[in-house]
Amino acid sequence: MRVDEVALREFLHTSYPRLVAAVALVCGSRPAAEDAVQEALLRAWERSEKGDEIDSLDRWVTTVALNLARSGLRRMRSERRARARLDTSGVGEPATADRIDVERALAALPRRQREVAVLRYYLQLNTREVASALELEEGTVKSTLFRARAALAQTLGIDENEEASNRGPG
Amino acid sequence: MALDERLRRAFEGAGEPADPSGVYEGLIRRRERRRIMRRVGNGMLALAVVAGTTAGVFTLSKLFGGPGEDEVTPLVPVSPTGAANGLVAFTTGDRIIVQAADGSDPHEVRAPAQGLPWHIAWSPDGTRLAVAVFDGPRRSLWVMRADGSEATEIASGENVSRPSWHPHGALITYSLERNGRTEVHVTGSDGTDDRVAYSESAPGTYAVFSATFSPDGSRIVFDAGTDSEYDIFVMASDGSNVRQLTETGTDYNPAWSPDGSQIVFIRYEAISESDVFMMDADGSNVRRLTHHGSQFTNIDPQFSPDGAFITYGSAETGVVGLSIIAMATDGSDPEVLIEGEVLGFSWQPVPDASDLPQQTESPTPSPLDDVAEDIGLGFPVCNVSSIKGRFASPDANATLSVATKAGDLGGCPQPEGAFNVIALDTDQDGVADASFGPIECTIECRAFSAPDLDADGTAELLIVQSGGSILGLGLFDVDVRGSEPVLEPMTVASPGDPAGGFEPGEVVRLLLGGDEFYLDTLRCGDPDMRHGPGLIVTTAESLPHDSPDARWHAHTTVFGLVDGSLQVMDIGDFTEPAGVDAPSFQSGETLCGSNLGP
Repeated sequence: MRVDEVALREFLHTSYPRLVAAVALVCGSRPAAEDAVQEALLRAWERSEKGDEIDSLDRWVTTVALNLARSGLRRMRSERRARARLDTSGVGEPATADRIDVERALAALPRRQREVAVLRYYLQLNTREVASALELEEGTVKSTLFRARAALAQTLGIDENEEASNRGPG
Repeated sequence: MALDERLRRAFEGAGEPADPSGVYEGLIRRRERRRIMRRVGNGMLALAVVAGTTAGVFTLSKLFGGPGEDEVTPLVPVSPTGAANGLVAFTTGDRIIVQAADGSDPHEVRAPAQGLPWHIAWSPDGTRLAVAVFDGPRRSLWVMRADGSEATEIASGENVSRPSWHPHGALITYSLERNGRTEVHVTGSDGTDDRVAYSESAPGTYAVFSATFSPDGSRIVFDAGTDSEYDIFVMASDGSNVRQLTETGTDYNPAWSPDGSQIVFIRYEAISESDVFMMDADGSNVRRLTHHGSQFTNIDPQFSPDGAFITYGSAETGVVGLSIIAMATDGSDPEVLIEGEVLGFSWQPVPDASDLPQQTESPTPSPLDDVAEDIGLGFPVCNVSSIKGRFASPDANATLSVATKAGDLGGCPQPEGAFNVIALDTDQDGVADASFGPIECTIECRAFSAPDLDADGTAELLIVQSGGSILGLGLFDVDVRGSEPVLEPMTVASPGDPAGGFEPGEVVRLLLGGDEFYLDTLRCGDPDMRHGPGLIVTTAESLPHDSPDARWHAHTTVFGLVDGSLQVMDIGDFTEPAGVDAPSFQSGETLCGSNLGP
């Protein structure tokens, strides 16, 4: 597909809001997530202008944004601390207890589990799409998701056995 | 409820979708700035500075000129003569922005009054701004310090035009309309002694767009005429000796070159066509600089303070909002300096101190002026931190200083968001011989450490550019290959180490410090390494957080310093217990022979 103004505006309208939220859940920094997604979009635009083919803007930007967030982790940590020190007024909506719980649970996961869980449960991609976005084998995604799922259930206090017994026959 | 569904709902509550408003416009600005950056090279605006005596000369002379799009042009010092280019100020919407010419370090300056700040002009000493504010039919002219403080209304009326400062800084000329009659005024910059220097002979004539003092203050060039015909005139600054320079009936918006020999202006050659032209100051030798035809509307051409560029406002026909374009004085190499939302624009002069005339008014005292220092940059500086080492020669010490420019944002500003510069004094006479800036700072900016990373006998400089629990360090080198020393930021050579956060071609930002969960360290590498001692950069995260079984998950990048770039020599990942013992990869007390400290 050609990445032009129409494609960019459509992406911004449809995919951008949730992708930024997803990357923020992965990397723990909203400004860093916005920066990563915007940088990925810009790279897609520049590549397209040079004639490179981009099959799916959604998938391409997701992959690159997560890569950028991953490689930029060091910078983000520094910026996050600097920002926190500078900003005493607070930014954005106050975090709810549930949100803090999820963020803590994600922070305790290894990065790959974090990425897989966020793509699966927040962006609601299926395992094949997750594998494509993260450039992993689908089997790797399934096994990673299995471990992430168990760890999240434990950290968030969700009893898997309880729900199994509540389900009952029929 | 199934576990997957409960997790989905929990994540749904945790994610906060972003607002895409303005992102597309931001992408366009980012793309244009990146295009300019590529011309400069190294991802930073490399304002090369020579400060031979007391004059700091900032030049962008290589920024837009010459080579092709992808060719990197090293910026070289120029002779410290004439005026020089500092920050830029522009108005957009209801805001006033002051920033570096590459778009970095933007600061919003509070507007002096309600309404739309429109025309804007730096004072000759670069410390004050004159701003014309449009509020309905009423327009007012204000003078304020560059941080927006101490705003004083000096004039008001209909159709107040772009103000122009007398080179001494004590007078301002502008035009306005009174009872249908256009007048050119000269007033004190404090609003006193306002007088009419020129008045149209009859009401109903065309409003004067522009009135501009010549660089020596002796003359004023302006446009005047009727609704259908307008031309360019020049007069003595007292209003006498009015002389017509053009006679096409289609010329307006004149402005002087810094040496007073040229006048740049706009000419309508056909309906809806407005291009930039230049002529000698006597009206002869008219030549066209742009060829936009009816595709673009161009206004308000001005020379940069050093005379190397002409800037003008340009809007694609039918598109709202002006971009500021900078081009060479022959019209070549146009580049977008500020993208599509500008009302007024001015480039800050950084004066040669020896050229500054005596001020006829008392300078406004600053509470922090008493701590400002003169280190030979042509402007006072604050927050100076220095380090001595063999930066330029293995045989002699030199002093490198990091400092914050005083004055242009009022007093001694904090480094955060201010104009910060690195200065090198090679002969130890207290006067800078080379400098580099602006450099970005967050919280603090100081000279930190000077390791000799490539074991060539000269030290490289680590500068703290952001503080907090982690220090962000810029790595700089002194290049002495030419006739003059030049300070240069280190860049990461291809292929870099993306997993470590080091992209090829980027100016390196090293991190040092951390907490119980994250740690960034710097060490020296294997002295037997082929390319020198090298620099080992490690970033590590302790996982799981708050667990007695946590382990450091570390990523290490080993750099060698080759020909002014950091080349990745090795990459590795490892884990080790994150217990009470210090990690194996902690920073040592010295780094390549230098104490790892300020």
